[in-house]
Amino acid sequence: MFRLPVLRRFRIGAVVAAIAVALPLAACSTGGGSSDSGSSSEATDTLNLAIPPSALTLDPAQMQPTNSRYIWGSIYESLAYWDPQTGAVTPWAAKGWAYSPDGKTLTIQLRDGLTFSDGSAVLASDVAATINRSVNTSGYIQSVDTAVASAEASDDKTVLVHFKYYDPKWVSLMGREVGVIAKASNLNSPDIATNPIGSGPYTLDTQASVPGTKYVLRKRKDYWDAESFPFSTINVNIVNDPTAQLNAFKAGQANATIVTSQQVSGAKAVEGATVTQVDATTVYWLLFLDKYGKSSNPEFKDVRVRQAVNYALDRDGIANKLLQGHATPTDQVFFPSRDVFDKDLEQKYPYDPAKAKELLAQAGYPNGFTIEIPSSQATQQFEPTLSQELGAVGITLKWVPIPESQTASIILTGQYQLYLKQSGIVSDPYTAALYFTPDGGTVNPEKYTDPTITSIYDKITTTVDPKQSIEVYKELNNYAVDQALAAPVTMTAALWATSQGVTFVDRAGLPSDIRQFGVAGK
Amino acid sequence: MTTLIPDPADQQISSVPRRSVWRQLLRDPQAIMTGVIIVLLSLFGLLSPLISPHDPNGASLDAINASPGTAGYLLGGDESGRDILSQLFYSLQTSVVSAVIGAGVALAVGVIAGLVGGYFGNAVRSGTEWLFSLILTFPGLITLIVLLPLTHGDYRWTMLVLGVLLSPGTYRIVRNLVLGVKKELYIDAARVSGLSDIRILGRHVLYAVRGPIIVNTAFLMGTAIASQSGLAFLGVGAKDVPSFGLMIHSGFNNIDAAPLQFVWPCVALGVYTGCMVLFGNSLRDAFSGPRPKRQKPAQGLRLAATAAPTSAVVDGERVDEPMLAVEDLGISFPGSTGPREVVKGVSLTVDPGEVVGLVGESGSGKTQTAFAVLGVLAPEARVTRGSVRIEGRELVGLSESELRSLRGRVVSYIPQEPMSNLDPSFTVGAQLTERVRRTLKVSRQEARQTVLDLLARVEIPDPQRVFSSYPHQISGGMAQRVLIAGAVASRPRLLIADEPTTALDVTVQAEILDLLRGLQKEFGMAILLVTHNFGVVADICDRIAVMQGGEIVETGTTREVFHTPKHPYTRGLLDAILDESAPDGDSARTIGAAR
Amino acid sequence: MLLYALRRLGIGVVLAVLVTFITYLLLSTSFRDMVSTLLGPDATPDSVTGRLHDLGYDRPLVVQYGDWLAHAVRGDLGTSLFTSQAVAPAVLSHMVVTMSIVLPGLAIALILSVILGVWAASRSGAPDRIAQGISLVGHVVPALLTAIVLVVVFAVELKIFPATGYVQFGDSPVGWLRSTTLPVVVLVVAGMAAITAQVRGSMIDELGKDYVRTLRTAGLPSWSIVLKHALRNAGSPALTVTSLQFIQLFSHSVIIENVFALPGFGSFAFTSAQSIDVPVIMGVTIVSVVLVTVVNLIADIVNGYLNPKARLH
Repeated sequence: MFRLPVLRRFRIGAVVAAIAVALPLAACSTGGGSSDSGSSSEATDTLNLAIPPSALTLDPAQMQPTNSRYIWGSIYESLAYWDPQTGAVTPWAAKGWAYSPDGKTLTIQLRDGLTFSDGSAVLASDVAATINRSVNTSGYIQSVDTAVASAEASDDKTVLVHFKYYDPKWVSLMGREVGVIAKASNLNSPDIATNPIGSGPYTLDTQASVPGTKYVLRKRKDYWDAESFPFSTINVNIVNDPTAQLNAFKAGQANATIVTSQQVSGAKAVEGATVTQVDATTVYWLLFLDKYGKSSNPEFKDVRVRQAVNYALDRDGIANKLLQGHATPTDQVFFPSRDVFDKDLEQKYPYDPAKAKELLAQAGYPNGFTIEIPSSQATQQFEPTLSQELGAVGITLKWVPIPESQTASIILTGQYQLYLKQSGIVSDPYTAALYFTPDGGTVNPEKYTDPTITSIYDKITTTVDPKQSIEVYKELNNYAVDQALAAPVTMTAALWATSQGVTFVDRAGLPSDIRQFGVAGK
Repeated sequence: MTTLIPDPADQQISSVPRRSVWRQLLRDPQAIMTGVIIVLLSLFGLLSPLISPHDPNGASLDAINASPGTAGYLLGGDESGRDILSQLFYSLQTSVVSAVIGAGVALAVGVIAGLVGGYFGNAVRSGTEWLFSLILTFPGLITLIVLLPLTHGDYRWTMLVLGVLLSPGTYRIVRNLVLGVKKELYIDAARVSGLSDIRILGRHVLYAVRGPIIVNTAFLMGTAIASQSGLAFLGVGAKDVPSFGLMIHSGFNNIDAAPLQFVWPCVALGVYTGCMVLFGNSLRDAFSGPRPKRQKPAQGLRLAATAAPTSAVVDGERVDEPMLAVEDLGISFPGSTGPREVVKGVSLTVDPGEVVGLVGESGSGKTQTAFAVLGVLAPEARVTRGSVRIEGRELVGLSESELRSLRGRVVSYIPQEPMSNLDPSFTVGAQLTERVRRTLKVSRQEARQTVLDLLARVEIPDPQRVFSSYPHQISGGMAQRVLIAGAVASRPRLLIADEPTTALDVTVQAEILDLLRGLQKEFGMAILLVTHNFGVVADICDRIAVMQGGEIVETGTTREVFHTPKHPYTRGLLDAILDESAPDGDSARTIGAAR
Repeated sequence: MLLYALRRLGIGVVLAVLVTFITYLLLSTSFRDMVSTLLGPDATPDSVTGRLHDLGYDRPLVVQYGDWLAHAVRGDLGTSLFTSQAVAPAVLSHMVVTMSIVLPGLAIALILSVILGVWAASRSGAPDRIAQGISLVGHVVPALLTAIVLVVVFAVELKIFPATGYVQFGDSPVGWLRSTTLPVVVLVVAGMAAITAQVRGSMIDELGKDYVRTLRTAGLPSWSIVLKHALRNAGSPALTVTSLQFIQLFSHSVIIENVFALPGFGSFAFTSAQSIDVPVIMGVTIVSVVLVTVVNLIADIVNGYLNPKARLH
């Protein structure tokens, strides 16, 4: 006989042993009235966030608009913020701003009564010093903020930003990391990255915080706009594993966390919990990295091949079945609820494998071809489906695993001709438009352009008036879809689970912002 | 030649001929069950391209989270619409490949380095030793992750590195075995006969170490599979290579929507690695030979179920009762065909102050008879009949604690091999002091003095030094004196001496016999001297009992037996000492006695 | 003895230098990737090069390593590129978390293993089957599975224990106990497997040895023979296994910490390796080398105490 009895006895034994250990502790915990049982129904004034890790520096020149913005965006005030209800860039520390006619000078007026957490007043010179430092320090902001020449304070409340050329996206950036204000005299402090002085609504409790793991934010009592920030304490817990995040939420240790589409039912099962879906926060799109046809796989030079890829994708299936409806099918990369997005373009590439095959045959690939494509954590959930759908029309995908650390740099190597890119969508159209221009950075490493793109791009960089510029972006979007400059796969939604008493609002695909959270009933 | 019954104490033979390993495995239901499961699962893995109903990465949007039993999806579909059954098959393939690469590399590296490090001299050994402690020190997991750019996330390269990281274990096993084997005579013999080092390594050493290596392989394979799964679970490596780790990860993420998705890979991984370990255990058992069922140790003199003490006197003491009376004693050991008697109705007496020699070849049952008198028979031994009485008190059937009251005080014991009979972890003084305090119930200070006096009495030149020495720091002759000192410490009335001089040099032998004789006279002890050596017997004994095949074949005074031996066996033994060329009397012994 | 310890530590220092240098060498291939990750997906090659230069990662490798070593000797392991925290205190604070599950786990495993192993060896029958069974379960069930099952049952479903996170002992001893209980149970199960098997095996060997029989004939009580004499002799191999288990549990804590979301050394090492946070990886490497060296040294010293033959003079 198989020696199962022994095994079975031991599994039970282990459970019994664990229970024996557990019981006295459980008794302790109920008696102790521990603070981490979050299933209570009263409104809370503590926000316990569980978010995945990202670069977590608090150095104003290095901060990135990732989840870490919940931390630095609460400590540092920015000149502007993006309104969670509308997505509009709204003055925050600034009272208002205006461009010079050529778009090369921006005049910013500061609000009255701004103070740093150490009590000193916020001056225009602080703003200018922060901008100048970020532009002149190698790092994240320098890599996104390429247009600024310098900033200066013309008086205590007025900042002048001088540009090398007109940068259409700068105002949007002002509502992100580029617009943060740090205290000028503190900028060269060696511990600026861990012990910041900002003028934001919260201060970092360095005693209770563990860098990289847990950040405790305390509300400033003297903050001028205290009403907009209802939580007196915010605990930001960095949790590696998505399942661990959900477990923390289920166990009441977190009262707000990001969940995956698979976790929705689990999160909803928690009593009083709400799952909020923010449509279209991330676009997954296939980049054609060799549109000039210079590599050994020059297939994507042919517009028909690129279009075939677009026809081969069952976008509805992916959004509704694979992602269980937590996604929006699209063949554009512009934010669906904002101005540039064109509803009519959605009809351009219906799911049509036969048409795709036909186009491939016309392009000279009746038997299809094989192509290598980098595989990473982000692409994982799409890989089987993409392999199957593109394989069905003759394009065989060979997924090549790459280290997570190389997901960004691999595009630049020129090693791959196809890449499944995950881009966070911000409702700012300028960033999306740049994707298709020679300045497209990592999504257009070959700086691909053609006469049409070049002429549209010229218009973009010279149109200062926001309303007129929208029309130019529409033109670019139209051309990009028509020429299949990329093959958008889907726009995924962000899913936030919040406990009873905590609300979450984001109607516009915002960069992470503590303003998204509210106390129920307030 | 008489058929010798092997000494039961020597039954734990470590190297069993290869054939019987397989026979042993086939008899072990655990080995069969786990072996069959391993083979089946491995076959599933290797044949996965043929038997999988779907491409493991082929997703169908209709199969997303399909429940088990959906047409075409026996175990259902996962969160991406992949067939779970196909994924399991391919995960098994990944596991098989991981196990082969991981264990293969670990074995290749470990065995080769172990052979080299163990066989060659100190310089080579310290070199390999250092290298492997370096490997052991390298933070394994980080190494694997840091090397990701070089391995390109390919689990096969990762397993190769893991193999190297696992190799120190194998290296140590092989090195230690080689060191042990090297010390054994046949390698020296092989050297003398002119075999090259390579051939010695190949033929002798590899053969000798194969058992532990094969066993180790099973565990290495289990480790490789578990490590691969763990790394895949963490997200290290390719995502399109199906693996239990990835399946568990996605199942864990999806546990609310479809809990079963999490259960399949867990069960498969648990069963597969579990069977590896269990099979490894069976292999180990098979290689270490058939083990008798473990018995409760130290449990007094146990009777066979059918036996009862057949003591002539049940109650009270007889006036003329001798010091020791053994009557019709039978002792059996479990054998392959049921209990087997190794002592078959032995009777002998020892009077107070008398020295009796119990003479016979190894395996004649004399040592078991002595052990029975002391109540320290091996756990599996049973007294089948007869009686053992010391000063009229029946020992058969007594419990361990009842026997304990006699031991050391009334009856005492001098063993054959002095070194192995001292506890290597305590100083001589500590061991003797504990003994003295236990039997004489004196203070620590008094006990210490008693022990020092005793050590002086047994003619140890520097008692103080020996007192504070560990057994490995003194010579064999010295150790035997220590044991004698311990045995006589409590002035026992009966001393059982089991080959007290056999393990010693000839010159020391004579001194020890002199010492025993002196002590016997001084204390008036009775001695039962167990030996194969008639020379020793002639020296010291008043009477002799000759044992053969578990029976007493002749008794008489020393004089009678030497001058007019009646039994042909006795004559043969006596003739043997006259021809004896080796001083320790090896010619009278037989192979089974070698320790 | 002291000289021996010093010599061993000296070898440890050489080892640490060698291992960290090899690690640095291996990492050097990924410096660019590290900075790309640091600057995010939109970084241009120029900005990466600039940052690389500002951080000093374009200097000759030996100079960089020498610089690192010179600082490391003074206890300065640099600053994390991703979280800006000083590496040395960060490594230590994560080490505290890992140690507060590994040490209790190992200690409990050792105590239970010795009790169980001795009981099994001296009693046979049911105790022996129990010991073998427990050792089997630990071997057979991967720690990953134990961890997941415990989380699902005790934290998520029954809510007896927190599912994730670590509470510092200073903040709340009860909270600390609760946050470490489940991971410790996982480590106990995993650690007991090898140690129980070893204690049981060596105890059986020892109890079958000649000196045990001789001690019995001397009239010593069973408890003294088993607990004083045999156990002491069985202690040496058990100790070796325990020290190996320590390193094993330590390096595998990464998986357990991942499941329980504990900010321990393993998960710290894993995140830093994933983002190629070079200063942190170097800190992690040197601390683990030092830890392993120290553990081996302690094991040798204790072994010398248990086993006079191994004692050094």
